[in-house]
Amino acid sequence: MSAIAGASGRKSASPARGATLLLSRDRLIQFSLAAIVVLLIATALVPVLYQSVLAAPIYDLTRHFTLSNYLRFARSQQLHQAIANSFVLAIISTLVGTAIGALFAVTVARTNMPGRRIASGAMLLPLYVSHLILSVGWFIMYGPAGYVTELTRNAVGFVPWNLYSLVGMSVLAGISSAPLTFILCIGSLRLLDPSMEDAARSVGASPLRILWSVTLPIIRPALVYSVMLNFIGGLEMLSIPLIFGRPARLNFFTSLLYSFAGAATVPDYGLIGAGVAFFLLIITIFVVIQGRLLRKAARFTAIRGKASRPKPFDLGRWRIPVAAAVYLGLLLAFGLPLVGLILRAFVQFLTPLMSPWQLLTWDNFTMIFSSPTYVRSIRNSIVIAGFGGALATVLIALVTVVIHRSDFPFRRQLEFIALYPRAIPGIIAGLGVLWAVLWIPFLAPLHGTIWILIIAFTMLDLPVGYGALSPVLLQIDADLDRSARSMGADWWTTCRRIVLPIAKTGLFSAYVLLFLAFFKEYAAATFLYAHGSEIIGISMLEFWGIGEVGPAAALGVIQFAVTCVFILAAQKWLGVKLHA
Amino acid sequence: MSRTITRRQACLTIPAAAAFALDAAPPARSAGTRLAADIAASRKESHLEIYSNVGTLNWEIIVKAFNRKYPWIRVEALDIGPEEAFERYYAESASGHHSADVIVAASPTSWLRFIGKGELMPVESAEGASLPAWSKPFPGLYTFSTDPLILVYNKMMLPPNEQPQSLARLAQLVTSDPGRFRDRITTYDATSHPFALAAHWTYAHLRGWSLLDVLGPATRPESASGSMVEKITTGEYSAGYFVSGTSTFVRTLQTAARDKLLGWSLMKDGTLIFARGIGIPKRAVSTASARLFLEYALSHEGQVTIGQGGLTPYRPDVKTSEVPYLTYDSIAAQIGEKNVMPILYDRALVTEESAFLARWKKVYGM
Repeated sequence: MSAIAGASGRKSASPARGATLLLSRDRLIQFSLAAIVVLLIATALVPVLYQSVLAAPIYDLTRHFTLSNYLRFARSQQLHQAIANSFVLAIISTLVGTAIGALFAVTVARTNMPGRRIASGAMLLPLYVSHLILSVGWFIMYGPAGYVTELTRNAVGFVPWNLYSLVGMSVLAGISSAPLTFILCIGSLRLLDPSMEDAARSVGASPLRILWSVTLPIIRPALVYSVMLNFIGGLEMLSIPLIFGRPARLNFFTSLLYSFAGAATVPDYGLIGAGVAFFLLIITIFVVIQGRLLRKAARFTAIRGKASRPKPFDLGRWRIPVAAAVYLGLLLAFGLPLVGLILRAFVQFLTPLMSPWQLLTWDNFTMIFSSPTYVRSIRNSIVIAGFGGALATVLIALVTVVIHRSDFPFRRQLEFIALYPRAIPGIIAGLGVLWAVLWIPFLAPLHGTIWILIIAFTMLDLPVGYGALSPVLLQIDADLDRSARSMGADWWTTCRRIVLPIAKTGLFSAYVLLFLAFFKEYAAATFLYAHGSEIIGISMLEFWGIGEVGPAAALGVIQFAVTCVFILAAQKWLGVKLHA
Repeated sequence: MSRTITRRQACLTIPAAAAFALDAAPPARSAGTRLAADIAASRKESHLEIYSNVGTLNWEIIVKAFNRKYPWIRVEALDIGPEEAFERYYAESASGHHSADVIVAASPTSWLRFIGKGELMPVESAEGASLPAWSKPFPGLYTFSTDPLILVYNKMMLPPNEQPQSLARLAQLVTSDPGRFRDRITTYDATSHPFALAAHWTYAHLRGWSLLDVLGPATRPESASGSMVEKITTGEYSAGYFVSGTSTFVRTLQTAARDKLLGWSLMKDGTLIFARGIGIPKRAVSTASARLFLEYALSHEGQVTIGQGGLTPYRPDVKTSEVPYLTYDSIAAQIGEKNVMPILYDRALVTEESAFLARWKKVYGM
C-alpha cells in the first residue's frame, strides 16, 4: 500500500484531511468509477478470450477447455488472407489519409488561401457522418457502374480507377480518414508560435524550408497520433470492405466477422475467438509502441479554446490555383458522393442508362416511414445518442475528474484503461458484449434492448469523451479545489460543487461529440441488435445486403439530416463550437 | 452429363426419414377443434416471430393478407438470411429468449441439421392431404413455396437477339466475346450461404460442370439476389443466372420503370427450383399463432397469397390464373418436366460440401 501513501502524501500539502481512509466516501466513489470502467472493457474482451479456448459455443453448457482453436487459426488460410488484406488496407489508407489530412491542414491553417473557413468546415463534416453513408455515396458515384464512372467512360473511353480492388479501397479508406488527421494537425498548427516562423524567415529560409524545418516538427506529435488512429481505423473499417470488398472477392477481417454475424456458413465460435484474440494482440502492441513514441505529447486537440492566429504564408499568385485544387478535392471526395446519395434516395433506381428525372419517387421514404421497424430504428438511434450520450458524458466526466483531479492511487492505470478502447474495433466489441450476454445468466435480460447498445457504445467512446474533457479539466486552476477543501469540503463535494460546474461548457462539448459518435456507430451493433433495438446503420446495412439501395440511401439522408440539425442546434443553444 | 430428374425421382432421392412423413389425411374432427383452440389461444400470445430468407417486400403482401384473417396476431417477419434464421434461434433459445415461432428458409443443410438436433416440432398439418408428398419430407417440415432460380438481364445492355433463355446461350455469349462480358455476369456466391451452396451443388450434380466452367471466370458472385437485380438494373452487370425469382418479380411488380431495363427468363435447359421449407421450432413461444400461420401458408388461400407476394405456390389446386407469376405446374408446363430441377434435402450436400466448394472456388477464381 506504499503507492497509496506516496500518492496521498504528495498531494496532502493542499487538503487538510490528507490522510486517506481506504473506505472514505471519496475512495468508495473513486473505486466504483474505476470498477465500472474496468467492467465495461472486460465485458467486451473477456468473453472473446474465453471463447478462444473453448471447444463449443460459449452459451453451450458442454463447453470445455481446448487449445485447438489456435491450432486451427494457425492453419486457416482464409483468416490469414483476410488479416493480411486488412493490414494492407490499413497501411495504404494511413499513408494516404495522413498525407492528405496534413497537407490540407497546413494549407488551411498556414496560408492565405481564400475561403479557408468554409474549406475547414467542409473537411470537418465527414468526421461527424457515418462511414457507411460516405461509402454508399462513393459507390453510387464511383462504383463500377457509378454515375461519374460511366460519364468518364463515355468521355475518355476508359476509367482510370477501380474501387473493386485492394488499392482502390485502400485509397478510399485513406480519404475517409483524412479529416481525422486534419483536425489533429490543425489543433497543433493553431498553437504554433508565429515568432518561430518569423525567426526562420529573418535568416532567409524559403517558405518550403520553413514548412519542413519549423512547421512540420510542431505537428509531429499530432501526426504520430493520427498515424496510429488512422491505422487502427483502417484495421477496424467495416463499411468499405462490406460495400466494395464483397463483390471484389476480397475478404477482410471485419467483413469476415460480419458474415459470421449473418451466420453465412456454420459459425465456428472457437476459431473466431482465436482470430479475434490474435487481432487484438497486434493492435495492442501497436498502441503500446505509439504510447512510447508519444510520451509527453499533447494528445487530444479536437476541441480547444481559440489561440492567437499566427500570420499566414502569402501564396501570392498561387492563391487561386491552390484554392481551386482544395475545393475540387473536397467536391470530388465528399460533395459529389453526398449529392449522389441524396439523388439516389429520391429515384427508383439510378443508372446512366436512363435520366433520373423520369424516375423521381417518394417510394424509398414511404417504405421507411410506413414500416414500424425502420421508424423504430430511427427513434432508437436518436434515443441512444441523446440519452445514452448523456449518461456516457456523466460517467466519463466523473472518470476524468478522478484521473486529473484526485489523489486516487491508480489514476495512471485508470487513464491507460480508459484510453484502451481505441484498440478495440467496434465489431469486436459488439461480438464480445454479445457473448457476455449469452454466457452470463444475469446479463440475459439486457439482450436485444437498447441498453446493451448504450453499454457497448459507452465503452468504445470512452477515449472520445476523455479526450474532449481532459484539456478542459486541466485548464481549471487547482487553487479552486484547494480553497474548497480548505473550507472542509471533501473531494466529492469539491467535484460536484466546484470543478464540474466550472467545466460546464466542456461538458456540453463532450456531450455533443458523444452524441455524434453514438449516432453514427453501427459496427458494434451488428451483433447486438435484435428485433426492437435496430438502429439506422443496421437497417441501412440490411437494405444494402439485400440490394435495396434506394431505402438504404434514404436512411442515409435521414441520418445526415439529423446530424446537421443537431450540430446547428448545438452551436446555437449549447454554445458549442465544433470547428477547430 | 445430362441426367434429368422428374418429380417422381425427386421423391425417391429424399432420404429415408421421409418415410416417416405423415401424408395420410389427419382426422378431420380433431383438426377442426384444434383450429378453434389455436384461435382462442393465439389471442393471448404476444406476437408471432418469423425468421426467414424471404424478402421484406414479399412479406408485406403475405402478412397483410394473413392479418385480414387473424387481425389480432402481430407478425414480425424478419429477412435475415437462410443460415442466420437458424443460428439466431439456437443462440436466443439457448439463453431463454422469445426467438423464432416459425422458420421459413430455403436451406437444406440447415434444416437437416435442425432436424438432427431434434429442434423441429413434429406438427401435423390439416392441409397435409392436399399437398404433394415431396413437399413434406420430414414430420413437421413443410414447403412454403417452390421458387425458380432464373436468368435476369439488362435489356439495354443486351439487345433482343442476345437476351438469353438458357444457360447454354449465356455461356455462348461469354465465349463469343470474353472481353465484353468479363465481370459483367453475376450469380450466387456458393461460399456465402447454404442457399447459394445448394443451388450450385444441385446444378453441378444434375448438369455437370461444363457450362459453369465457361461462365465462372466471367462471373462476379453476389450473396443476395436483391443486390444482383439492383446491379443488373444499374448496368454494373449485364446478366445474372440462378437469380432468385422472388426478388425479381416483386421488384418489377413494384416499379414499372424497371420493366424497361429488366428482363427475365426461366432457364429452358434446366431451371433450379428451391423448395422453401417452413416449420415450427420446438422452443417456439407463440405456438398457437405459429400453427395458425402454418395452416394458412399451406392452405389454398395462403398459397395464392404467397403467389401474389412474388413467390411460387406449388399446391396442385392453385391455378396459374390465380397468381400474377408462376406456379410449380406452370413452370413444368413451360420448360418440360425433365427440365425442372428441384433442390432437395440431400445429405450428400453436407458430406460433399468442402470438396465441392474447393472446385467451385477454383472455377470462379475466389
